[in-house]
Amino acid sequence: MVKIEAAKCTGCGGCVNLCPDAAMSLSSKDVIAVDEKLCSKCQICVKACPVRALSM
Amino acid sequence: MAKRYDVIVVGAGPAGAMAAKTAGENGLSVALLEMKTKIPGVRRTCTQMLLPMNEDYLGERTSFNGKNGHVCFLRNGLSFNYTGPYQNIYAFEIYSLGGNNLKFGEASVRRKMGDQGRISIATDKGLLIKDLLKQATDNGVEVFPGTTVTDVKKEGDAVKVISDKKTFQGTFVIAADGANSRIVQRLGLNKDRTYYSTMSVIESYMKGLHLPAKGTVYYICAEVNSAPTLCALIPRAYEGEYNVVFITLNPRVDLMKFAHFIMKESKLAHWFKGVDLKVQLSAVGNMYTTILDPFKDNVLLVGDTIWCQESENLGALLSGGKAAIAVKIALLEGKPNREGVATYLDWWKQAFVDRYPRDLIMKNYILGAVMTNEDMDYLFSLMNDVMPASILPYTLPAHLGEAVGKVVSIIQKDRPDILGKLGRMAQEPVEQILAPHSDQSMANR
Repeated sequence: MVKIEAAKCTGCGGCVNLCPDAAMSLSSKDVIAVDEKLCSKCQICVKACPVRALSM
Repeated sequence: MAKRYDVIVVGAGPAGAMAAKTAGENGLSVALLEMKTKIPGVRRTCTQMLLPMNEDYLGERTSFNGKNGHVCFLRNGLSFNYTGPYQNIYAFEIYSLGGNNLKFGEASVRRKMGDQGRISIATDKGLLIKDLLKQATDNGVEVFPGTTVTDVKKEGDAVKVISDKKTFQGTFVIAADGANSRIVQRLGLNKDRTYYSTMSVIESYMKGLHLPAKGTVYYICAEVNSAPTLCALIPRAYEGEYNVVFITLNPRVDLMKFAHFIMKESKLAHWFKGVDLKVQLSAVGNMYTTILDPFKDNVLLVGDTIWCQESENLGALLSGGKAAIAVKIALLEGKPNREGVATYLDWWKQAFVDRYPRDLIMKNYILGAVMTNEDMDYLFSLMNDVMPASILPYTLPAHLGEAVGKVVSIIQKDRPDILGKLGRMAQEPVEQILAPHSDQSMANR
C-alpha cells in the first residue's frame, strides 16, 4: 500500500503520469490519492516523488 | 450517447488554456479537462517567466505591452491578455559553488534600455492561466476540473478520452497534459524517444534575499555525486520576491539536503541569510528527445508533451494557439484528419525541427555531469567577459561555447583535463553522459 504524507505532498502531480498503472489522481484537496485496486506496487511513485511524500 | 465536442483539450496549463481559449473564440465546441480540482492553482514548479523577450524563439517574435497586458505572437498573429503584475528581467548570471560567475548581460546596463533591454518578463502564472480561462469560458468552453485522463482511443471518426470520471468524445484532441503526458505514453509515442534521465525539482517562494543585483536571474551550478544539480533564483512578478528552484537530473539526490547546503553552508549562503525554505511546489519528469511528429490518431500534441521540460511558457502558449487554429481549419474544410491540421504540423517542422538540433536543450544541463564543483569554479573564474544578455536555453549552449573559446588557450595550458571534459560535453551523446543518473524503470513508455 502506498502511504501518503499529505502535509509533504505539494500536489504537483508528477507521479500521476509516471504511474504505469494509472492508479494515481489528485484528491479534492489537490493532494495525491491512490486507487489500491489498480496499484501494482512497482514503487516508481515512491522513487520519483521530489518531496519524498510517498512510501510503501 | 456522450456529447461530441469539436475538440477536447487535456490539461489547463498555458498550452491547454491557450488552445481552449483560441478554439472557443473561433466558435468550436470545446471541453477542457484538468486533473487538479482547483484551476488555476499552480502546483508544479515553473520559472513563471515569459522568455525570451527581444529575441527570436521558434521563429517568432513576442510583443508584450505592459500598459494593457497584451501579449502578441507577431508573426503568427495570435494574442491574449495578461492582466496580472509583471517585472522585467534584464540579465542572467551563472555561479559556481565557489562564488565565481559568468554574466549574460548586466541588469544595470540593460535597465537603461527600458523594455528593449529586457530578456524576459516575470509573470504570476496562476493569474495568466486565470485570464486565459476567463477568455475561454466567456466563449463557451466547458471546463472539467478534477478529471485525470487515463487513456485515449480512436474509434471511427472520433477520439474517446477516458478519464477517472467519465468518457469524453471529440473529433480532435489537443494533448496539453505536460511533460510525461499520459496521452503521449498511451499513443506509444515515447517508444521512439531517447530517454536521458529523470529531472526532480522543488521550489520555494522567497522574500528578503541578499542578491548582487535586481532584475537578474541567478543559477548556481553544482554537482552532487556527479549528478548535475542546480539552484535557480528567478524574480517573481512581485517586487522583491523570488522563485527559488532546486533541480537535479538524478532523483536519488536529496534535494532538501542540497537546498540546506546551498542556503546554510555554501559560499553563497549569505544570499539566503534570515530566509527559510518552505517547499511550495515541485515537479518530476522524464527528460526525452523532442517528438518530431506531434500528431497521431487525431491527437495534436502541444507544450511540454512534445518537449522534455523546456517548451518555455511562450512555446506552450504558441503551440496551443497554433494547434487550435489548425483544428478550426480542418473542420472548416471538412478534413478531420492529418491533412486537415497541416498548418500545425508544417509550423512545427519549420519552427522547431528544422531550427534546433534535437538534443540541444539538454546541453544546458550537463555541465555538472562532466565536471566537479572545483572544475566549474576554475572555469567561471576565467570568464570575465559579459556575454550577450539572454536566458534562452536554445542559444545558451552556443554562448557558453563562445565564452570557453575566449579562454581556451589558458585552459589548455593550466588545466588540459578540463578541456577534455569540455570536449566530452560537445561530442559525447547526452544520454551516454547522463547514463549513470538515469533509471530506465521510470521511463514511462
